[in-house]
Amino acid sequence: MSLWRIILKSLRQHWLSTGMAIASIGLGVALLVSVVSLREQAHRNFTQVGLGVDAVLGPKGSPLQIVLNAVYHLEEMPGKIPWTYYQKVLKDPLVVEGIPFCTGHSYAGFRVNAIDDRFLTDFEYEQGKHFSFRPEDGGRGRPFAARDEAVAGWEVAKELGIQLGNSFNPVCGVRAGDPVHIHDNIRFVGILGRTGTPHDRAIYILLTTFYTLEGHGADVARMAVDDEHREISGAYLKVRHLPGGAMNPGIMDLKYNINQSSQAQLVVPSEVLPSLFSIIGWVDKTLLAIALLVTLLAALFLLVALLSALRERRRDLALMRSLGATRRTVLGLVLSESVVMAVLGGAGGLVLGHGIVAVGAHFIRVETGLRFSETYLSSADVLLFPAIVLLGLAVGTIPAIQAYRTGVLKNLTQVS
Amino acid sequence: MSLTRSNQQKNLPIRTFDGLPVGAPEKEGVCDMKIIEISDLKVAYALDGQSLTVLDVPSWTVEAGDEVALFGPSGCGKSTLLHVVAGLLMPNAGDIRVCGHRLTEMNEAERDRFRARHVGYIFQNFNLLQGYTAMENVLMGMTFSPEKPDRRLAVALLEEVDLGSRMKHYPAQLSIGEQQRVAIARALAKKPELILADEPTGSLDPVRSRDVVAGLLSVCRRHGCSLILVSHEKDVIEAFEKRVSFMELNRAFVGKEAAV
Repeated sequence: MSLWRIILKSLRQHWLSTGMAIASIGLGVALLVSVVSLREQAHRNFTQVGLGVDAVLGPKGSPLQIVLNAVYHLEEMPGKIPWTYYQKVLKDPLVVEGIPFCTGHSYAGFRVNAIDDRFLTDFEYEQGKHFSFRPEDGGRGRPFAARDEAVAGWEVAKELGIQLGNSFNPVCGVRAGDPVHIHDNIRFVGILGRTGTPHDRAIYILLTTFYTLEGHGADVARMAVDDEHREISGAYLKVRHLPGGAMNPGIMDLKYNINQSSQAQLVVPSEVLPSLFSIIGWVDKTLLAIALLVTLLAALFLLVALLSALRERRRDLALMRSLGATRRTVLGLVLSESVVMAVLGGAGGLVLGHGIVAVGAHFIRVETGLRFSETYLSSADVLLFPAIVLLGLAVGTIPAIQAYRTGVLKNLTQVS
Repeated sequence: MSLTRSNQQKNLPIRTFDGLPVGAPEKEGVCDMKIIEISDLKVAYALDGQSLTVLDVPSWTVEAGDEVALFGPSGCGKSTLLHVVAGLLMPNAGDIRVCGHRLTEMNEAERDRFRARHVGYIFQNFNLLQGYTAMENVLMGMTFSPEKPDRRLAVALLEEVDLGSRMKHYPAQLSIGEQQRVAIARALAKKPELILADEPTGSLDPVRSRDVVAGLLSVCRRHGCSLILVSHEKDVIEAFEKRVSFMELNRAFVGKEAAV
């Protein structure tokens, strides 16, 4: 009979406490794996993924609000900026390209953004990647070209079941109960291929369409033809990069100059988003602390299970000693049991944790458009097994020492 | 009951597991003539600051192939002597050699390995592992010995003690006598030179006691093992043909030691 068989036999003998200890470790590990994975993915999304936007020219107000509205299609823009000011910024030698947009409309819970038509052709949502209408990319149709035409992001089309030729009436606002432009039937002529970015979760119309929607009034309609009168919510800016790929440091001067004005501000998402992450950081720190606490409780549960099993097994261990097992052998048996339980719990927790990540990532992506992956491997995955083995060894130490000290005669014999 | 009844009933030649004839030493050369040599052995415990001697054996020798019954009243030190011989307990003074190994010069791990290789131990209350089948209990007897556990040998041993049909039964599903026979098979599993049986009939009625002892003697002879059996029952020692050692309180063999 091999020592492994003895270990498995012992685990089976105490299946209830073994199972509960394994399950509790599994839950702790699952929580850790999922929290760390989602945390890292969130961090990556907010700090590393630029979504093709070097800077956003927006109205005065909260920079974070501007980024969330312009890039993530969340929140609301705090105001508007004059078209003329945008044109002035475009003339700065540091600015390569600008794509102006107007936000503030929605349909069925998704934002409807009016945007320059170059957005669909020239804009790079990721370095070197443009929007696609090709079926192999999940897209259909073509870019909008007329006032009553719209293009849906991949996620919007999927969720609302949009087909080419379907039409909709945009809502003037982003809240439930906001008025609907009932006289403006806008037809979907294109569906964008999947990008895995928040751009999948918006509907795009022409800037002209925005200004000429019925119900906006003559003042807004005038913006369609009068550059001096025109206003926009903001503009995506692409600035010159250094040969190595880093943003030109001159952007700091540009930002300073723009921010000195009373009409607009320049927001660099890669500067603002980490601050967002630090604001919400306490949430993930709390979750991480809870996960660690659960794992610690699971470790205590494992310890109790091992000690309780040891109490029942003292006679068995003493008997093994009488059959020739050394103290080191019984120590190794108990330590191995602890490690096996921890590893089984860890493996289960890993599977469960990735299941949670897969489901969570799917919903986060659907709800926010953030690029969360179902199969993301976090730093927790790399460290998990060494950590689990160490946990098993650490927890198993006390019962193993007790097993080591098990006296043969005391536990087995009746002296005559 | 006889442990060898099945073989005898079938008139099969009784052979050891290696095919050697009855009585031939299975591990020739491993233990020579003297299997146990004791001199000036003392075991004492401290009690209330006083030293209490529980065993005092000036000299004692057991030859290879001997069948020795240690007989004496409860508390006279019979089991203590077995514990010392098995290397489970270290004496306070004196010298003891078992199978040529001087136990007093070995550390605990060495004594554990010595026990795993040379000594089969049968306890009064059998001490079977309750969560293990009869077969697994016998295999456990080999697990810690240097040789690889041999399932075929375990099957043969269980068949030899008439438990061929109960191999997958757990101790709770076996009678007291059957449990004792599993314990005997387990003690033999490591092919020891020496079997130590500590009151193996303590839980049995006189008739069953005689059967168990007769069976034990029989398998020990077939396997070429020396046997030391501790008992305080006169009925039990009657089965011993070779030698009975009488013990009195705290001292070994002070009264008499006699061949029967």
